[in-house]
Parts: sequence; C-alpha cells; structure tokens
Amino acid sequence: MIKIEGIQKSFGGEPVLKDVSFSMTESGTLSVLGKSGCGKTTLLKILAGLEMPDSGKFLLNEQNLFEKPAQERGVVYLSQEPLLFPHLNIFENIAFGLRIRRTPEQEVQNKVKALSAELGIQDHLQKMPTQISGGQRQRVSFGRALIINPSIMLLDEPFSSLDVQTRDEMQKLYKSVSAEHKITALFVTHDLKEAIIMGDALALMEKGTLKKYGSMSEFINDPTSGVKEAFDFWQDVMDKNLADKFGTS
Amino acid sequence: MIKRLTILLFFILTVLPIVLGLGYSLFYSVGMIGLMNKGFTLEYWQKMFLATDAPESFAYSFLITFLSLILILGFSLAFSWWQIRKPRKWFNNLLFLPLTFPPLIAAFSWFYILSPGGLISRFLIQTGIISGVEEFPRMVNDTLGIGILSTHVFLVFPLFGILFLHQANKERIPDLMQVSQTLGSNSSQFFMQVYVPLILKKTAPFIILYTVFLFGAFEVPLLLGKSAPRMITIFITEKMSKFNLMDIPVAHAAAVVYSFLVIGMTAILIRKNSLEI
Amino acid sequence: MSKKVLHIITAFLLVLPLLVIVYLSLVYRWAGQNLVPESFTFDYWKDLFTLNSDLGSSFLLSLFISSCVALFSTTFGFLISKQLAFENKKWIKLAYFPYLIAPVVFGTMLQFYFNRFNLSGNIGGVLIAQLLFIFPYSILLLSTFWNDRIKQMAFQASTLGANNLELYRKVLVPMAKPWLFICFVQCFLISWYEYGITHLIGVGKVKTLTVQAMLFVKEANPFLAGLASCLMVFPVIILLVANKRIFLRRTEFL
Repeated sequence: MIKIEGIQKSFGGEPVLKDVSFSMTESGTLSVLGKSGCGKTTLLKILAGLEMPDSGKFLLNEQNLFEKPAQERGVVYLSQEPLLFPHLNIFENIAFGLRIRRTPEQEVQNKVKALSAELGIQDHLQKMPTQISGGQRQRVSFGRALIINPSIMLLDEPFSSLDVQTRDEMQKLYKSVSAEHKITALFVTHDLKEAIIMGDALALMEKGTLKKYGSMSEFINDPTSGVKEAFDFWQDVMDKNLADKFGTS
Repeated sequence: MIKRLTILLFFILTVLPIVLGLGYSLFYSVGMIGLMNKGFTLEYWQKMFLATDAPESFAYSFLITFLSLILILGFSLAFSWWQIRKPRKWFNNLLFLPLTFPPLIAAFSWFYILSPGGLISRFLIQTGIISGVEEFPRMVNDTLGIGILSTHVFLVFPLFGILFLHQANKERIPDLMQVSQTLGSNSSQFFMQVYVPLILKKTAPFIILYTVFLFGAFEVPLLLGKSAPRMITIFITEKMSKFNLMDIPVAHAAAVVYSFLVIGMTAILIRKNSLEI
Repeated sequence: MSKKVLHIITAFLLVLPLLVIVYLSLVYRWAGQNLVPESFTFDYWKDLFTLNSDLGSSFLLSLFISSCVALFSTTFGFLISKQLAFENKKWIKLAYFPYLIAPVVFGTMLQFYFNRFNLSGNIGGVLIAQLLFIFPYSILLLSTFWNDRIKQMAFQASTLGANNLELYRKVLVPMAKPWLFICFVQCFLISWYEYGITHLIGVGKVKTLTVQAMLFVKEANPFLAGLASCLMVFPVIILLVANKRIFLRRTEFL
C-alpha cells in the first residue's frame, strides 16, 4: 500500500501543491489527469526526490520515503523526453541501473536481452541513442527504468512528444508490459483519452489539489473531469454531421 | 554544507582577490598605507592627473584600442565576406595560425619585420629601393603605434574572421542574400545594409570583450611602444617599479582608475548578457 | 588590386611571423644590412637537448606550471560551476571581473600580499598568480555545459540508483568530456602564453619560456629568442593540426 499524506509545496510564497493526499494499491496504474501548470510535474519531482516538500509524507509499507535520498527510494521518474545517456549505447543505457548495483555480468546480459526483446528493441542494442527513432528511445527509457524493478514508476507525459501512431503502439506496449511485470505507476497526462486507456484508477489534478475517483462512473459524472464536455462535443458533431448528410432536421 | 563551501571557494578565488587588490591600491593611493604613508591625502591623485602623463596614457590606450578595433573589424568583415561569397579553404586554414602565437612572440616577430634593422628594411636596402637605414620610416616604438597596431591586427583579425564566418553561416547569410537579390538589392547594398549590421550586432559581446583585452594590452606595447606616449598598463608597471618611492602611490591611483574602467566595461558586457555559445 | 592578390599578400603576412622565428633560430652570424645571413646553424636546437640548457629547463618548467594551472582550473571549475549554474546562476558573471582585468595590473595591485606571504619569486606564487584569472575563465567556460537537460539527466541517474560519486564517474564526467578537454587546453594555453604577471610575481626568478624569451630579447639575442618562440609556438601548431575544434571553440565562447 502506498500512501501520500498532506504534501504541500510553495515556490516563493506561491502555493503549488495544497495538501495533496491519496493512496494507491500496488501493481496498478493511477492516471492523473491535469492541465499544464496544475502542479503535476512538481508532485512527481517531489515523489522522486528532485524537490523537497514543505510538509507531507510518502509512505510505502509504513516507511516514509521522504527520509531517503533519491537514489535509495526505488522511485523512477520518466520524463516527457526520453533522456538517454548520450555517451552510452542502448545496451549500456538499459543496463545502467544494474551496473550501479554491481550486478554480475552474466545476469546483466540476460536481463537486458530478455527485456529488450520484450520491448522490441533487441536489434538496436549496439546503437547509440542518436541512431534510433523517438519511439524507440522511449522504449529504451522505459526499459532502463523497468530493469531495476522500481517500487514505483512515475511517468510524466511520456508519450506526448510522439506521433499518433507511435503513441498508440506505446500505450499498448505499456499496458501489456506493466501487467506482465506488475508495475506500480503514476501516469500523468493532460490527454483525457490517454488517462482513461492507461489507468486502472483515475485522479484529477487542479490548482494544486488532487482528487481520486472511486470508480469510472464517478469520474465520468464529475463535471470538472471534462468527460461530459468531450462526450457532448462528439455527440454534437455526430448530430450535425448526420443532419447535414441526410438533410433531416 | 558542501554547497556553502563551494560557493565560499568561488568567492575566495574570484571576488576576494579583486577586493583585496583594489582596497590595497586605493588605500595606498590616498597615503593611508605604504612606505611613505603620512595619513589621508589626495596629493597623489592630484599629482597623477596634473603632473604625470597618466591622462595622456589613458587617452593613448583608448586611441590604440580604438584604432586596433577599427582595423581588426574592417579586415575581418571584408575577409569573412569574401570567404562566404567565394570560399578559399587554404586561406581559411591559415587564419588559425596566428591563434597559436602568444602576444609576446607575435610582438617580437613583428619587431623583426618592421624595425629599421628588420626584414623589410633589409629587403628594401638590398634591392636598392632605399639607400640606407636612415631612410626607412619608423614603424616600431613610434608615436603612431604602427608596430602595436600591426601586431594587434595579426593577433585578433583572424579570430574575428573565423567568428564572423561562423556567425554568418549560423544566420544563413547565403540564403538571406538570395532573398534580397530577388528583392532587387545588389551585393554591396547587402553588405552594408544587412551583413555588417547583422554580424556586428550578433557578435557585440565578443567585440566588447576584445575591446577590454586590447585596452589592457601589455606585452605588445612593452616591446613595440614608445616611452611617451605609452599605454596605461605600461605607465602603471613602470611607475611601480621605478625607484622613486613617490611614484608608487601614483601608480596605485592609476591602477584604481584602470580597474574601474574595466569593471565599467565589463558591467556593460554583462548587461548585454548574450555572451554564451 | 585583385582579390586573389590581396588574399595571397594577407596569407603571406599571416605566415611571415612564423617564418621569422624559425629563420632567427637558425641564424649563426648576421652582420650589417644583409638580407641573408653569412651562415646558418643547428647548434641552438642541438643545445636544447643538453642537460644544462636554459631553454630546455624553461620548456619543462612552463609545461609543469601550465599543466598544474590547467588541471586545477578544470577540476575545480567543473565542480564549482555546477553548483553555481544550478543554484546561484547570477553569480557566475562575477568571474568576468578577474578574467578581464589585465593580469599585470592585477598582479601589481596584489603584489604586496604575494610579498607578505612569501609567494614572490617562487613557483607557488606564479601558480597562484596565474590561477587568479585562469580559474575564473574556466568557471565561465564550463558553466556553459550545465543546462536543464544535463540537470534532468543527472536526476534520472540518481533515481536509477546512482550516488553522487557514481553520478560524476558514470554520467557527468563522460558527458562533459569534450568540454573538460577544451577547458583544459584553453587554460593550458592562457598559462603557456602568459608573460606579465609571471614576470612580476616570479620577479624574473621563475623562468618560464615567455620570461626566458623576453630575457633573450633584452640581451639583444634574437637568435635564442627565436628558438624560445619556436618552442612555444610549435607544440601549439601541432595541437592545431591535430584538433582544429579546440581553436574554433574560442570563437564560440570568449
């Protein structure tokens, strides 16, 4: 069980996070929907250890992770841009966390090969990051995080810089791999559809507060979630379109 | 803790020496410290402005800096322009050569090229164009600073040429030129109205930086300058090392003035701000 | 005058100083106003490799001083510029002041302290004197390495489990390698070229190549001064031929 309790953070007197509290079950993805500037990136950075909160707790099995430095939390942050280490090839990028942990060579080889096959990048292991495509880079970034079995993965709009088709592929890939590896993840996005596809549970972030929904219907029926708005929009388009096409009114 | 120490180290290594040096020179120049100290007095400052060649030296430094800069900019703008229109790779490569010369060595070489006993003079005598050393015009240790200017141009113009070329490609000058041709401007109009202003504006911080360097030139005027007028760096070092103890506070006063001029120019540079890659 | 001729003349003037110093280093006797000396010699060059050669030891001394200055500046410049670039960015600009004041004037203002702490006339003093303006330069140069991307990358590495030491060893230093190399070379060259403050603080006792060259000039021995010049310029030309980018860097920054 993961519990976030009362996180607050201000920058220069300006509150960015106001008492953010929620809990999530292990092995499942919580989608957090929010517009830019709602504080979602700050929240992720605090959880990962890049920023310190003004107050609050981050409990994993009753242990407060805020008391540990970033490198000991086992919380991996995946940014929008797949920041691969430019001086390392794909294999070494994926193996990075294992090398830090001084994992035996044979095990490194096995793990990287198995994971890269699963992610469909097994043919590119000897290439450098600049030699592969954006989608492939995102896979590598994902693999690099996955290989150290993180207790939580934080995904900050990871697919937003990809084209539509690649994005679809990545969403599917993520779903299957995260189910396979029983990943616990916080998936932040501003895209309604993506939030619904990716999440096992849903939350909405607005002006520094986070609201977690008990069920999908609760989410759909909340006017602030934007689901109803989107639904009405498409409904409207369909109606008009049909009306134009068939000349009925 | 480590963060604080790092910042402290930065201040100790960069700001502290300036404060210590300026403070010492300032106190020395008003008679508060030093071998001849006799309490606060503005005597040395008055002396510097009224009874020494310090004002001339400052003026001469400004003049040499200004003339060097004009020549350097003229040459580098012209050559970079010609390189863009018709690239000559061999020439471009040669531009790097002066970058390998320390100022002292460049000054020394130019001394042996331009002095009456130097190569040009010998060449003219051997070919019978002039009949003796007396006829050879004075080009080192001269009032006009021909030797200093030549060396400054030799040292800095290639660097500026390379910089301008680099900048021109970054600004896609060849493309811009095509556009303006279709709009009906000829190449000399383009040079004057687009190339020169654009390049100078983009490289302004770099030019200010070298203005400060030229103003503080030391090795080149040391070898190629005249004893009067002399550049301010030479004034300060010579007054400082002369055995007349009354000159030392005057030298410190001049050093204070020089430092404030540099700090002022640097402040302008920092305000311009774009000094980065 | 056609542009071609103009280019050829300029090119000749660019090469001429190099020819002059090589020429002088080979002249044996040069009397009167002759253009070509009576005889040439390789003796000055050969003498370099004898044990008690002044120039040979000056070369080694310069090499030592410049390497120390460059190593210190690059190492500490890297560590300190990181801290400054990420947390106290506006202070970096302070480094311009010591870098831009003419070293010899700077030295003049600080000479008292050097005397006071017994740093005049010895290598330690010259090292510190040169660091006064070369270290700020390295801060300025290396601060251009630290950007937001590098910050994110560093953060990525620590969430993957790298501690501070591993972060430097496995991520930051390998990524900064081109910067560190250029910074080292540039700092080395500034030190290698320096005359004013070295002469002032070294009071002529610390005979680096520039100080020694100036000594020969004052003694009216242009031949050995020419040789000293060659010793200073040739290694840099080799460096230039091997890696032009180092010098291009000077046009990108400072």
